[in-house]
Amino acid sequence: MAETAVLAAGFIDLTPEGVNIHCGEALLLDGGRIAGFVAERDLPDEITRIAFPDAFCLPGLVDTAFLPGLIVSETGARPETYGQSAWAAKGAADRWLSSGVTTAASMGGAERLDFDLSRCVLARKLSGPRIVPALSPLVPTGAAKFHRLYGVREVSGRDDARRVARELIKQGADRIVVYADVPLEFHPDPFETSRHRLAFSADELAEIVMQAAQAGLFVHAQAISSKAIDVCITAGVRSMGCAFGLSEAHLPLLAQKGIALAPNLALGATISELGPGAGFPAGAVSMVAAQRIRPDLLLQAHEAGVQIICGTNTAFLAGDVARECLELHRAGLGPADVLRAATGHAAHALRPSPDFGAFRRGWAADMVITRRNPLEHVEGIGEVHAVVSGGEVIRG
Amino acid sequence: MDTLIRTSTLIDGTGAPARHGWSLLVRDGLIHQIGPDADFAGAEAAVIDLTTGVIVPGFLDVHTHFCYIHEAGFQQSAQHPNRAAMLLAGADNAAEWLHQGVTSTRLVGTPFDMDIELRSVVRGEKLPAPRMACAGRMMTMVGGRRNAWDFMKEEINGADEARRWTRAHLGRGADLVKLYCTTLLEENVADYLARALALPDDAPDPGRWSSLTVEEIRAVCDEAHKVGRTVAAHVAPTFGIKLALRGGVDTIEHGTVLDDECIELFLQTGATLVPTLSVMHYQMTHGDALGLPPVFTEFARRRWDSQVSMLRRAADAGVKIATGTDAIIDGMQYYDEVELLVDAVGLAPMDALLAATRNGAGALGMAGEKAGTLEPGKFADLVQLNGDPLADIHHIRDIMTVVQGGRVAAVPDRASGRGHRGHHG
Ligand SMILES: [Zn+2]
Repeated sequence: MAETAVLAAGFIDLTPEGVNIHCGEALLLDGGRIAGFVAERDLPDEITRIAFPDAFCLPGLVDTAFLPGLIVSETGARPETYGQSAWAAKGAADRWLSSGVTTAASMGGAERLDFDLSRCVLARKLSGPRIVPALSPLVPTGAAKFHRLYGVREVSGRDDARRVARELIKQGADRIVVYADVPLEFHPDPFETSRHRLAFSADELAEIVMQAAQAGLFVHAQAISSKAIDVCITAGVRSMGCAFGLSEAHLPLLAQKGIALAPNLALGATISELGPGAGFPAGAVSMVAAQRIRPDLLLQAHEAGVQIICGTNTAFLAGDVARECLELHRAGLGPADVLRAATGHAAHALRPSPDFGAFRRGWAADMVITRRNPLEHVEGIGEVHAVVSGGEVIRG
Repeated sequence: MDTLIRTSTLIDGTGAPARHGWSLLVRDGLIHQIGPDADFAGAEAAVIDLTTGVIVPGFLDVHTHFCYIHEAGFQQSAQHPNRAAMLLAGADNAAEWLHQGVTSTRLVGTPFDMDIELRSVVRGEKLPAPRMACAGRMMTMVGGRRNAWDFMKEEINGADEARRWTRAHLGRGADLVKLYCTTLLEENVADYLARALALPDDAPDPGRWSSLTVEEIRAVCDEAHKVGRTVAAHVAPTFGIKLALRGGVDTIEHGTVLDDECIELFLQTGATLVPTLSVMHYQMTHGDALGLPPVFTEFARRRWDSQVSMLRRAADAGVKIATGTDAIIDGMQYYDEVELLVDAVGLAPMDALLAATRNGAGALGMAGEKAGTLEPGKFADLVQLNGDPLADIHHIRDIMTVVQGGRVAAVPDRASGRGHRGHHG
């Protein structure tokens, strides 16, 4: 028997078949999980009602690229130690949740920070989205200086890849994140992307993918150059981020292998806006701002059947999922596809059988309540009225 | 701009009687001048009016652990002690203690040096918290870790190793060194307590113990004292107290089983005793709720009377006693420790107040040079109480305002009961 009913002007239910807007219906919740839709007039009197009569309700947003270790804190300080990272991440987790993100997949954190945070959220010691920990992201040997606070681990060779993947799985990683190619130095010219990069080979990545698959986990790769994208496709990662070097030739392969694409557009957009004042080296700012997937390719990828997913991948205060949605919309995706990228598609890129990201019976009661209908106004995703996480109402 | 704090009744924590109609001029967080109101006529300063109630120095808790996580299941579920949870708990507990009027603390042993991390976050983010002197992880002898979850201690063997470890630890940012001087080697503690209970009070301790050597302790004290840091010694049976005092430690933590020779050694060395009565009292009175086996509670009860009478004897002999809560249990309060000194030990309210303020300053080492009393050059850390603690010590829990560094740091909501550990869940 359901204990709570959520009422709204409309529930935006994105199924693989299409978009259902439930009007005049209530969503029943039981023990923090979804119990199903029922007509409002059939609601029993005694049930607790949470009513948002003028607002729209969509599934909680999913960020596939949350960077807990690198978040700049509210005072603008860049963290140097575990404790400072943890404190900054506490603020970020709270902001992410308030902005409607109810699941955030970590890109990794030094010294198990993302794992610790994920358990703090579960134990309700921390207000934030459900965190999917990756522990240490993997980089090719030599690239460790890339970002100390990611807690990256260097890998070389197939045996090493197997050992490290096994260790991460044992230590509690919920997915594995690899940086397929890493710059030796920041280069201001975006067309230099295929040079000066340490990169994994396909058999190293394939070994990681295989070990992860045995444990029921997915591998996400950040890949920059065209060659690294080839390697990730060959190895069969589940999702790929950045992908600046993407070309037409990659699209059918991505679709065929079911590799989701997280273009991380908000990252470049936010960095361009903030500029060097945000504390990044000027070369890095111009590089990151200039580097993005060719805008026309994103729509082509979508039309070729590639799943597009949302990932913020930003260390800034508010490079949020709403911004990512807006950028996807600007690149040509329709509102329903943008919402799928931010909910169901993203959830399915994190776990083989997720229990969040859609209004499905038995799944987590995670939702965002917005004033405007995001199917009519994509920017409405950022105008959060309230957030429900595991059945608990959090004001936006 | 200077701040002028106006008071009506003020106890400065030096042992002097209460002053009436005095003010304090605060400059850069320190007391610049203190004296009768007339001395400050025409002073250009922002005024904080604390002319109701009684002003006392901010309290010192010289034995606490803000970052402990008490739910073993939570830590074990992760197969890993969760440092983020320790940091979050630490920030909450620190804020609670400040609300209870505690403006300076010693954190006496924290896994992974998370107290040092907490201190840096508190400073960087300007979080509400007492001043913190941090011990980081503890040092003990080889074999001093007794179970798999005992991850907060590091083991040394020999004076050279003790010296090397101490230097390295001070280099990591520790403000004091916490020594776990004695370790009970009994696998079955309940069985050991049952055996002890069967013996007369004055019988020697029936347990098997391991301890640091006096040379090891001396090496630690030598290195710490060179750089103005102090050494705190966790000790259990009587022999451990004597060992630690002969080694030159600055404070004895718990020190539950004193004898006359111990008292003599305290007086010779000038060391401070931090009896942590409230944690023992809490376990004794809440044993069932805490899920302790009955023998623990029985043992604590049996010991209690002799402990408090020896403590009284030590105080009367002139041993310096300071308040430390060892507040590791949700529900404990700082005030309990001070009140027990009066209600159970029988100290005069003024002596209990001095234990809560002046007496702890030395234990803080360098960090305590400016803490504990309201005198020129000291921190402008003070508490406004809604009643005279010298008339009734229980007034210390009736806090109106907490001032730290000359600024209002907390105005506890006295009706809400804020100030309990674990209040935020
Ligand atoms: Zn303790």
